[in-house]
Amino acid sequence: MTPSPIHHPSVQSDTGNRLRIDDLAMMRGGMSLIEALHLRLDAGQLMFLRGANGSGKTTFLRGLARLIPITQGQFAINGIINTADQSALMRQIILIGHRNAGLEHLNVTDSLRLMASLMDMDISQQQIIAALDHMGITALAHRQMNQLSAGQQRRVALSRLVLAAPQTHRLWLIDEPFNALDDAAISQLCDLITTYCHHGGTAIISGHGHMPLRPDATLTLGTKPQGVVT
Amino acid sequence: MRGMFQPCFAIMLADIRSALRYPGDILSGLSFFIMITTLVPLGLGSDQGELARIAPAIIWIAVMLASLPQMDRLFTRHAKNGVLEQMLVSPAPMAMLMLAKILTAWVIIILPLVLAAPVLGLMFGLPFHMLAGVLGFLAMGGLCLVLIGAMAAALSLGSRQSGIFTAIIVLPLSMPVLIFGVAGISAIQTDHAMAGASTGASTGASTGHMMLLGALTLVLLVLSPPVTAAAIRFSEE
Repeated sequence: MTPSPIHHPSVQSDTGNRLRIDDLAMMRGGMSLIEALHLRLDAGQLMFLRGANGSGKTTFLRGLARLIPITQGQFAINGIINTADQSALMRQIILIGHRNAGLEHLNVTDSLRLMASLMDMDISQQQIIAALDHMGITALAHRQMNQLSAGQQRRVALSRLVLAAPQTHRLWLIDEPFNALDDAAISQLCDLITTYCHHGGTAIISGHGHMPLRPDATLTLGTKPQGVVT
Repeated sequence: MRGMFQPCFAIMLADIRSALRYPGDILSGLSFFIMITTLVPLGLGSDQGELARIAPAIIWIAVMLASLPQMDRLFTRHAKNGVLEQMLVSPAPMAMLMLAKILTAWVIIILPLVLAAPVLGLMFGLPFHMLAGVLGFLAMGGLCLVLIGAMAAALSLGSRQSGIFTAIIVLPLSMPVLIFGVAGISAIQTDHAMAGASTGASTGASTGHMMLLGALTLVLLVLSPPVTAAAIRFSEE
């Protein structure tokens, strides 16, 4: 297997857009959710993906992660287009879905370690402790995943972002991160995302209603004409 | 570029850790296996010749029945909590990750049964010196069963009657494993009988069955991981 030139951050060209979407259309259950969407996101930008329940927020994020096929158009992340090699494209994203992807029968540390290696990150024990500390859950490091509350499990899931943060070229796709979080966790997450964008990272965050961060762009789904954003 | 094997090892380690922390699944499969293989000789009486003749079939059927419920659950937990989704968005090839999961499933599901088989073989009058051959067949055939089971479990993900669905897929596909496996162990018995009767050189009729089973395993090793990966991708869509 030959190494992908995109993988190493130093070879990363920042000339193009972090995310480029051209004439994108997506369908779900026979319903057209996204039509003729054009979008540009650059390094350091944060986008808020807003919409009512069922408006296609998750579909959109999962489409960018190539979990759901797009019906029309194309997108490119760091210049890697959506029809490119799977692993090349997956090296450009981090997806935090609705589900927390915690391994119930493992402790928090071991579960995170597996998730990190699936994200293609090489991490040390110290980094895990630091990530847990960032999300305020250091005390849970050796607890079983299935003994945690919903909010604690969400914090563990989001601490994957802390581990991934050094790779600032990866587009973060975060599906409704503020659900189940208390105020402290929300502010910790906001800090993390703000810092990530400050260092040139790009993130898309979905949600409905209030957004505690100030996004550079907002894409509202569920309203008909979508036009160009940014 | 980090090796693509690293995530595979991580999955193996995680699955084995989980299985050891909650050994209920292993123990339930094992106890089911022991139940079948002890009840049959008890029910049939004490005709040693008869027992030795049916031993290969009983052991194989017990392995299949004891492993099936566990195979069915191979992906359900990971599907529900989103771990499969994270595997799909991993830069590591999904088929490789699935191969890692399948090999780990062999260790967790089949290996305990293989290790228990010698003790149970004695109940059927399988002499101790045949055990190496019997274990070889069970280990190899067991790998086939897991490779088939993984495909079936992945294909039935998301269906509400997944247990029935898995059984229906597994049953016809595992027929060759049963046939070669039973014939192979029977051949070991005849090999030994003839070797004992004549000059002492083994005739090696079991080798042919072993090679057929080996060929089947190789085909499934190539076929099953990508099929499993594709089925999971489809179920997550």
